[in-house]
Amino acid sequence: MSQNLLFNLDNLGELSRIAVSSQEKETIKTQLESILGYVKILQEVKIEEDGMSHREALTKETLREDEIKPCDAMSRTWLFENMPRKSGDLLEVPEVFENV
Amino acid sequence: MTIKEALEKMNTGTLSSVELVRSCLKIIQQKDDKIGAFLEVWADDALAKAQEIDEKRAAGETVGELAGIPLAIKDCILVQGKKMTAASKILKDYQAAYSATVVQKLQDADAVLIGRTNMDEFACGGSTEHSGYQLTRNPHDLSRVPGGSSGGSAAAVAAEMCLGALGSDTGGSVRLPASFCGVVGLKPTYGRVSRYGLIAMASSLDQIGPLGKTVDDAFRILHVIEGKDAADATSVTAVPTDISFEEKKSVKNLVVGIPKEYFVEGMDRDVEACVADGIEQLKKRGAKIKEISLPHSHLALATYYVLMPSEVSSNMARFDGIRYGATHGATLLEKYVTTRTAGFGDEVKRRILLGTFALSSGYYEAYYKQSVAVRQLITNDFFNAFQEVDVIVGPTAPCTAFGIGEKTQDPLTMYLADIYTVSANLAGIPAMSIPCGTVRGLPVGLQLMAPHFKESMLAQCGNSLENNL
Repeated sequence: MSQNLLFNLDNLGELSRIAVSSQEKETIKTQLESILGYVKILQEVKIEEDGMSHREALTKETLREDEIKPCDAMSRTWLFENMPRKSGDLLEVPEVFENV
Repeated sequence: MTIKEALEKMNTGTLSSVELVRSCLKIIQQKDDKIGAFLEVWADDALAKAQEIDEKRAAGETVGELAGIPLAIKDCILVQGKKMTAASKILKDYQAAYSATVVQKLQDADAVLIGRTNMDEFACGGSTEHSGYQLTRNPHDLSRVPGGSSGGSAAAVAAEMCLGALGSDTGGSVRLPASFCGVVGLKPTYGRVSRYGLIAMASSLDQIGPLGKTVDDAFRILHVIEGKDAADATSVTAVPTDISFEEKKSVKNLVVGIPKEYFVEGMDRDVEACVADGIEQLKKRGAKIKEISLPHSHLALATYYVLMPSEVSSNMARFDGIRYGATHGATLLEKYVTTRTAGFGDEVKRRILLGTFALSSGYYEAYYKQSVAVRQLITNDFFNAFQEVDVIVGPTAPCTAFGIGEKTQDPLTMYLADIYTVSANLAGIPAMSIPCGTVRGLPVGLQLMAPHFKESMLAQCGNSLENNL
């Protein structure tokens, strides 16, 4: 696994939406390998599978209904103040789909 | 002056809130250039609020539990209309759209919010050396760190710049700086205090907690901020913390557990001796000391450093420059990558990469899923131990405050300072650090841990030690 880490660092950067420069790669690789080496101890623990999962723990009784509640005026003002680009009452976002 | 003392003086008219706040502002002016605890001081707002409280008192009106008390707020706990950055450049222009529930509760209790304190960026750190803005220094020795990530809050309390503060604790970020700065730091049971308005780091581990000069002060703040919140589904209805200590100061017949795994090679021997002395004091006061075992302790740090970065990588995904935050780049992908690369510091990026790895296809089972399972083993250790003992005691940290820059080159070395604190977050139990002496002039923290929602046990032990009872 550790031999693949440098290859994976490019992939990890892409997944994380973070650019790792060529100058940083070696340092980050060393640091991540050190940390992964430390946490490797977890692999030695044998876990009994009891079938419990987070999904099973959430039931209809655990969750409330989705309700639309109006936002107070002050919060709304600050929400809009923070938007980098807006158009009237709408947040403006960059194109998600490119023209083919 | 403690919160308790200040309230007594204000209630009898021998001190006004304006005088108290002015004295804090004066200390900030005199000392904070060197210490760097605050990112922003809200002097005008604080004095205006203090004036309002004084007028209420003078008119004989009922005032809140913390009326007129100046408190500092960690820069990741939202105060509506105020700049809030989580000490990150990516939020450099962000102004909070709403107040955190805990802030609203403090304001309803008539507390005076004096400013926002420095921290490690997005609470990712144990020394407050990873802030995007400034360094905070330990008031006891300016060449040393205050601990982190709530280093600014701890330093502010230790330096008497305020009478208490809020921090957040994900793996020790209230307790470790409390230990290093010689103040009390409390991490409540997960779910006792609402996280609504806390800029999330690791959502299954984060808890907001108070820092104060005394156990009494910390619990006065907790009493105000705790409680179920409809806006935080992970908060629960719990019996409110009892802050009337008068009948409960004795620890006679309390059973105190000492985990044998916590006193091992590599610990500073002087710190160990200081902690052992604290335990001896409990014994002299009538507590029964019992050696216990937490057999999965050696896995706690590894578990934390898989789980936590996994959750961090998820929580940091929202910082993409679209709805808020500094924005760079032309196309959508460029915006994401350039904004995040420029806006996040090295430690945050490291944790995002680590977490992305632990959650990625092909590694998820071996890392994230395995750590979730081991977390349950660690939690079970505490359940089992609390069948035999009332409270567990040990060191907060294996060392005293280290030198600035000493551990920044090797992240793993920094992470090892969390070795005693992370277990309480993994298990969700309450834990508190109280000062138990000094080594070479630097404070040492004693950590107390109790069963879920039994903060009263922490108060009982802590108060007894503090008041020599």
